Amino acid sequence: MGVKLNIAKYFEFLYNKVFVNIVSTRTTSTVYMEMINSKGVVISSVDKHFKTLELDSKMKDFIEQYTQETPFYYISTIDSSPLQWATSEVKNVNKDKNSLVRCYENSWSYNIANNSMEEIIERYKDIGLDFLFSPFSLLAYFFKEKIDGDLAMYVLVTEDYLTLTIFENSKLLYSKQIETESNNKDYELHHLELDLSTDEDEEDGFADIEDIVDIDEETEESIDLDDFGDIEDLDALEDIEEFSDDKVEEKVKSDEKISDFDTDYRRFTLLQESINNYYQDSKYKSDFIETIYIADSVGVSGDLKKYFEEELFLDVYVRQLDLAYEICDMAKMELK
Amino acid sequence: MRFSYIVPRKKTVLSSEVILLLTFFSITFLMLFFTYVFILFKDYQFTSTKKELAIKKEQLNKNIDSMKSKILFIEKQQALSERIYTKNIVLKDSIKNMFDLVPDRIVLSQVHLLENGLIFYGVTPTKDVYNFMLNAPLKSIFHRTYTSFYPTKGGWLNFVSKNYIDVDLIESANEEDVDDES
Repeated sequence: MGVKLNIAKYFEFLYNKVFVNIVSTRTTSTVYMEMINSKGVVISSVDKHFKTLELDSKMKDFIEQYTQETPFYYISTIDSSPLQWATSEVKNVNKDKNSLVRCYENSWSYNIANNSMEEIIERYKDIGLDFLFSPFSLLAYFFKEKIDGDLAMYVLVTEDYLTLTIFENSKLLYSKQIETESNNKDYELHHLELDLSTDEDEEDGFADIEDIVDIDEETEESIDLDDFGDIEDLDALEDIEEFSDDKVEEKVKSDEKISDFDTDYRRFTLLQESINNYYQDSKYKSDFIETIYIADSVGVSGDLKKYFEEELFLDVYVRQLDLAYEICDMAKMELK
Repeated sequence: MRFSYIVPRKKTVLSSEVILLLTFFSITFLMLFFTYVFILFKDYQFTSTKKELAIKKEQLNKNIDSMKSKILFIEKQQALSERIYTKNIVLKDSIKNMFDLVPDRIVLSQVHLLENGLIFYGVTPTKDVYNFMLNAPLKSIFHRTYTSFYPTKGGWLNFVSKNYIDVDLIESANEEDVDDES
């Protein structure tokens, strides 16, 4: 077995490595593929969006198209389930038989429920999984140069969930995994409508966030036009000046802003509740949080920043993040 | 630094096709290797057998030479025995003939057979009896015949007759016969 491993290590220099990084929301999946040579230089990268959570034949074919090129391929994903948490404990963390624990630099630990992990492994059983990351470790890795500083809150904003941590000098004080309300049935219905209207998946470079925004725009647009259709039944639209084409476009843009406003406000509300919990819970030291670092993977509007600044008087720093790219980066780190 | 909950799967460069190919080549190589070893072994076996056979051959050759020499010796012995036997027969016949030559009235006391001659010792009633009945045939046989007499107490005569054949004369006569025949 050892000999076999050594042979594989020896041949590793002859092959390129392929990192397959899968980021799933409740209804869509993004696959980011990166091929590097033996020196670690990126040869090619591509990403593709699939309107399915499960590993369907299209996604499998797309992934196998690249993984068949080399035996050294690594499939990574991030756990987006709410059944995960992080604690400041590092001792006796392995006592819980219902969850799996990993320690981060021996200063704090993050957990995943066994059934949640089994569900993810089962989902990708046809292609297998090499790395399964936690959003807590990703957040800490993304802000690794910040968490060893003063007390601050760190938030990972994704489409489906918010990962919140509070660190002071690399010590974890508080953590929470929060599902956002955007995962409600209406949201899924909008995506279902979009699936029916779109025949082919689109393939491009690093335009995930823009695409998601575009999808939202299209969805909102279709809703607005339907709404106008209802009005048309009641009144003659062409006779009413307020419902001319220019006015409709302005109305759509206005509704988009309202939608972003709603989503960001929802996120702000959830985070505000968590901060209040942190302040009110007696088991936490509850020092005043002055700074919040936001890892933004969805493209939050400036409103979110404004809410924190104006209502909680926090210094807000927003840093853009591509989840799939970060997972890829972490997978590379794991192999070093 | 470990971030992942799970460890990556073991990577191997040996895909199922490569394993199949390697298995095929391994079996082929092993077969060739074992064939090579078998041939080497057989070659060694043949070489050792060849050496043993060469030694045996050498020994057999020696034995053959020894046997040949023995056979030659035996053949010589046989030839010698045959010659002796023939000579003895001839001698026996000659002695028989010789004794046939001797008349009843003459009594021989000794006979010495020489290589090229014959010496008689005996008793004759008279010289004439000897001369007519024995000396005449002896002269016809031998080239040279010398006889001496001396009287006995009973009035008879002891005689000693020495008879010789000249071999040179016989050989020259034989040569002449050969020349005549040619």
